[in-house]
Amino acid sequence: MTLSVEIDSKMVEITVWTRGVQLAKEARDVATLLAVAGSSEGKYTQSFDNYVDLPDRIGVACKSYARISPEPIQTVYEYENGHHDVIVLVEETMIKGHPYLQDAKQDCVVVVNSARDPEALLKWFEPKESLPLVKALACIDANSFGAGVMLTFDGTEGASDDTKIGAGVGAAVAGAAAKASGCVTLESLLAAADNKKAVQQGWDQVKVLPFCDGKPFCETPSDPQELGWR
Amino acid sequence: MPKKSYPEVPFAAIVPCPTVENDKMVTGNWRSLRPVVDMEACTSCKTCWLMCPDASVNFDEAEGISFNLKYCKGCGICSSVCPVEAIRRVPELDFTD
Repeated sequence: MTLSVEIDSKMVEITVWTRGVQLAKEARDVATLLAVAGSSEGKYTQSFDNYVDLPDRIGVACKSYARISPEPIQTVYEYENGHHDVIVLVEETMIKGHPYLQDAKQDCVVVVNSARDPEALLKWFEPKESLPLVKALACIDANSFGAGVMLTFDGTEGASDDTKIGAGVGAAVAGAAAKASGCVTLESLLAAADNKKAVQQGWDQVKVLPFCDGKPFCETPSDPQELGWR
Repeated sequence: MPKKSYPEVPFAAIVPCPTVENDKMVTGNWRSLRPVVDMEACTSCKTCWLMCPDASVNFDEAEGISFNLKYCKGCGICSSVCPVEAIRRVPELDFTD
């Protein structure tokens, strides 16, 4: 029996990859900021860490997720994002060695926290077969904007978040992700974050490299691509 | 002599240390900074080899110190215990592999 109804067809799934313990807070910040901004715009949102990842090991790859949809979200029992629209890498070295493009949707956007240019990161893309799915690659040097809350062991288990939301690196990365993908507006993100200056800097200084059919440097103008609502 | 029914082991059960790697838990991609040794400064004291918590430093009499990049987690212990500071930590993306 085939389902004739699509579940959550308009949902935007954001997956934030980070390294455990020290940077887990930043990933959670990015996901939470984007979800809170989305819900202040009147959309339905979810955001959560990945419980499957065993994130309490320093340096291990772990993920946080956010889902934003204009309709009520029906996927509540899935603890991982099935198909990614926006993939955010909070640490630049994660671009090699991790399957972040696996199960990515067509026209996904990859945002990396890196001081390097997007062109320099192209050779690291993995897996290469999924490259045609990528619509844009964005880079933002967030580490220089918010040294804030690194090295906090805040609630990886989800107990409590004593440090503020969006007080560090995560704020700038969320600003960059919002600009590169167009999933939330700048105003709602500024209202949600604690370090508004970092969000603004992330929004302004992100370098977006649009792709056409898996090849970079296409002829479109350098305005950021909007994901739009499907 | 009757055939022995137990397997023979060397005296005091001294056998070579097993050198197998655990393919199911490859931790090389946990690393953000890669250790690089300056062979001119290295004195082959093997302190890094001793202190590595993952046994990811290889020591060869002829070739000196090298790192098992499949498993090195980039913790930096080798770099901080080296008495001559011959090991430096370089961002992973500076390499091309």
